[in-house]
Formats: sequence, C-alpha cells, structure tokens
Amino acid sequence: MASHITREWSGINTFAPATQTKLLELLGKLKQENVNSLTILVMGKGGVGKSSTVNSIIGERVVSISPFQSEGPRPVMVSRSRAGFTLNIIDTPGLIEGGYINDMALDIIKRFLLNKTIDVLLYVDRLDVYRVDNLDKLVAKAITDSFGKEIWNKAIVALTHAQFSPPDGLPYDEFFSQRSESLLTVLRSGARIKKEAIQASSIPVVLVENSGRCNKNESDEKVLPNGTAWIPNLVQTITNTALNKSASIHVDKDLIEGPNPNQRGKLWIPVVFALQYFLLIKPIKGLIERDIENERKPAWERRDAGFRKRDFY
Amino acid sequence: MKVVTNAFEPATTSVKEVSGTIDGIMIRILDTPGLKSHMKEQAYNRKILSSVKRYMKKFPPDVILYVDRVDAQTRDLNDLPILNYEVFVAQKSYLVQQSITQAVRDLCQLSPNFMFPVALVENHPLCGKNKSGDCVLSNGLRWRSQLLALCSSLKILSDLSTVSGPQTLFDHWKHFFFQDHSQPLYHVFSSLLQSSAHLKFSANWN
Repeated sequence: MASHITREWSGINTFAPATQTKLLELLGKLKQENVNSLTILVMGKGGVGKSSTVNSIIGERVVSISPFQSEGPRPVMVSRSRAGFTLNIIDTPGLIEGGYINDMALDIIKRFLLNKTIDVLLYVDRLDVYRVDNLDKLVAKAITDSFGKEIWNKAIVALTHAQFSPPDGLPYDEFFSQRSESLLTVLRSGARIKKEAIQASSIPVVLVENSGRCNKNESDEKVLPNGTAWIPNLVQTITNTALNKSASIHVDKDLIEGPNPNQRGKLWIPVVFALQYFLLIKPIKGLIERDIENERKPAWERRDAGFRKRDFY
Repeated sequence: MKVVTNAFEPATTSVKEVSGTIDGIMIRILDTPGLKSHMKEQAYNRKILSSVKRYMKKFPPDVILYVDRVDAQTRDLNDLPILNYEVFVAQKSYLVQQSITQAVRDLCQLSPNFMFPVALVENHPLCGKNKSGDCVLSNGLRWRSQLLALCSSLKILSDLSTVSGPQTLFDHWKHFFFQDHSQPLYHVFSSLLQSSAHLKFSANWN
C-alpha cells in the first residue's frame, strides 16, 4: 500500500474568506480542548455523494468521481493539516450492491480501519430522494454490526443535493424535516437503537451541496436554499460531535472479527443440560416406569414372569 | 391533475386506471405501485405484478412505460464540466438499456442491436416554458409532445406488424427510431400507412 502523506490543508484557501475564518475558529476550538487530530469516516450507499463531500471539505479534488461507473472497491484516507491540527477523512465504497449489502466492500473497509480510531461517522444520503426502504435499514444494520451501536453516538447524517426544489410545492424546511425524520427512523430501526435511548435523539442532520452551481451569499459563501452557509455548518457539527461526551471508536481486531460464534453462550450448555435432565428426562422416565408397573398384564405374560422369577435350580 | 402523489410515502398502493382525452384521442393509463429493489422483497413485487397482469388482460396495453430517474445513482454532475446534457442523458439511457437487456436475456430473444426508445420527462412545476406555454427541457425539447408522439408511433407500428409480420415490425422500428429524424413523422408514416385517421393522429403532435 502506498505510504500515507499528510499534506498542508491548502484547500481551505479556496473557500470564501468568511468561511475560512469560521473554519479556523473551529479548529482553534478543537485545539483548546486538546484535540489535535480528527478522523472522520464517510459511509453510505453508492452514488449519494460521499466522495464529492470529501472533496468539498478538503477543498481539492482528492477523490476521483465518475457519474456512472461503480466506485473503486478500496477506501481512501485523505489527511490534511493546518495550524497544528490534522484532519483525516476516510472515503469508502458504497455498501449496497445489487440489492444486497456488499460484504466484500464491508470487509475491505473493516480491514482498512484496523488500529484506527473513528471520531466522527458521516453517514451520507441524498436530500432529493422520496422513499426510504429496507436497503437503508440494511446499511444501518451493517454499520452497527461492524462497529457497534456506540458509533451512532458519534454519527452525523449528511444530506447531499441540498440545492433542491421540493415537489408538490412543499416548503423547503418542511421537506428537509420530513426527509430527515424518515431517514433517521429507518436508520434507528436498522441499528436497533431504541427511540428513548440518547443516541436516537441526538443524531444531527446537515445539508450539503457539492455542485459548482451552489448559490452564494453576500460574503461569497456557498449557501443553501434556507440561507445557511453549509461548509461552516458541517464543520461546526463535526466539531460538536467530536467534542461530545461519547468515546471515539477504536477499531481493533476483536471489533473486526466479531465475537467468536463458538464462544457464544458456552456457559449455558451445562445449565441447559441439567435442566433437561431434571425437568424432562427424569420425570418422563419415572412416568414410563410407573405406567409399566400399573399395566394390567395378560395372563400368559404374568405366568411367564412368574416362571422367570422362580428359582429352578 | 388526476393522480395523487406523495413525496414521502407511496401514494399509489394499487394499480389504478386513469383515462382521458388529449386532442380528441382517448388515452388510458395504468398507473402501478413502485417495485422494490431489495432482493428479499420479491414476493411483494410478484403480488404487484400479478395485479398488473390482471389489469393488462382487461386493458391490453399498446405501450409499456418503464420509468426511472435520470439522476439516480450518479455522482455530482458538476464536477465534470465537459459532460453536457445530451451526453449525460445518452449515457444514462444506455445503462438502463443494458440492465433491461441483461435481465430479460434468458426469457426472450432480443436482437443484439435492439434498443428501446427513450423519452425524457420533467414533472417539476418550475420546468422552463416556451412561448406557447409548453414545458421544455434544457435542450429545447417539448417533452410532453415527444412522449405522446412516441407512444402513438409505437401503437401504429405494432398495428402494422399484425398485418405485415413481426420481422417487418423490427425493421420499421429500426428505421423509424434510429435513422435520420430530420424528416417529419408525417412523411415517414405516409409511406407506411393507408388510413388517414392514423396520419392525423401523429400529425397533431408534431
């Protein structure tokens, strides 16, 4: 594998000055809390805009994008540093292939992440999609099965293609809120997070617009239809999530290989066996013996038994 | 607007028949619930499809419209400025063609050069309009007229094939859809048809 080089985060210079100021402020805030580096894992289905989002955050075209071909099978980690702070972003291939989870891609991702620590999970999907289905649930389940439920404490949902006019004349904010809600519901269901659990209520949802046509405000920052400058908003949310009370996820061998199925419930074997013996086998044997004793035997059998019992010699 | 749509929940939960008249021609449309793409939901798909089959027995279709999004499964378009609209649409059409051809390969014999005609649709109320108030796409195409013209052409061609045989249908098909379109439809059909009613039919939509 090629050696990994951390370059200077020169991409920030391509952002509007107002955005640059806000970003540097946020980096300063992280350093104040003694956080000198951040690792962001970007995951989701194929074709939703994961690589585009990575390119937008870094400010350079670091990950190649092709509208029609399948993504490369390998994850890519991009590292940039600025003012003593290092940002690592890991772009991954889409998890769905032909109606099923792409287990091979998932495996490659897990192995790539060995010995790395995930500070933030960026779950990417599109804003301009009208249905959630079992596939979304499967992706959430695959992520939970691979990294544990705790990863959702460090998760942010990013909805791309945010420069979008909702259909049927729905107001933008209303569409955004409904879309977020239905996606979060299906993700919670797939990750098996209970609604009351803390994880559920606090997964933030941010809007992203990666296209060059994104509208700009007076300060020349890229803005969404609801007026928010989305790059600072995304980085702010990342900062908040990184600094929240939950622990980062360290990916070690156990996490990747998962619990050994042979070990599972091993201690229960003697207990179940004992229960079976005392509650089933013994009583049934007793009942059978009682039935034999109480049986009214035909005359010839009693005679036979009698013959056998008598001592002939 | 006759059919209910919903941005979040499936609004079409059973096959619905919608009929009306456009320019004096009676059109009947069978709207169907969306099929699911997850492998484990094929039982649901089979149920929907058998319901569709029942409707098809009652109202045999002249045209089957396979609907998909042009921007489904694509990365951000604007990262490749060289990519223009026509090329993008052509690539997407090609991909859908491929998927369909591969899927039906075992079930029916499609000629290797067989390609489905593709119609573009824009349902958004903010669609650009030309001087006569028709919705136009970014390449100037009046999509509604084109779609209706394609449908009527398909019907005419298949009516023809019942007279001249299925092989000729394919030839007409090839000739009609994939040759030079500079000739108005009217002229193409006049060489194939006798009935003037049919000619009026397609002339209306050009």
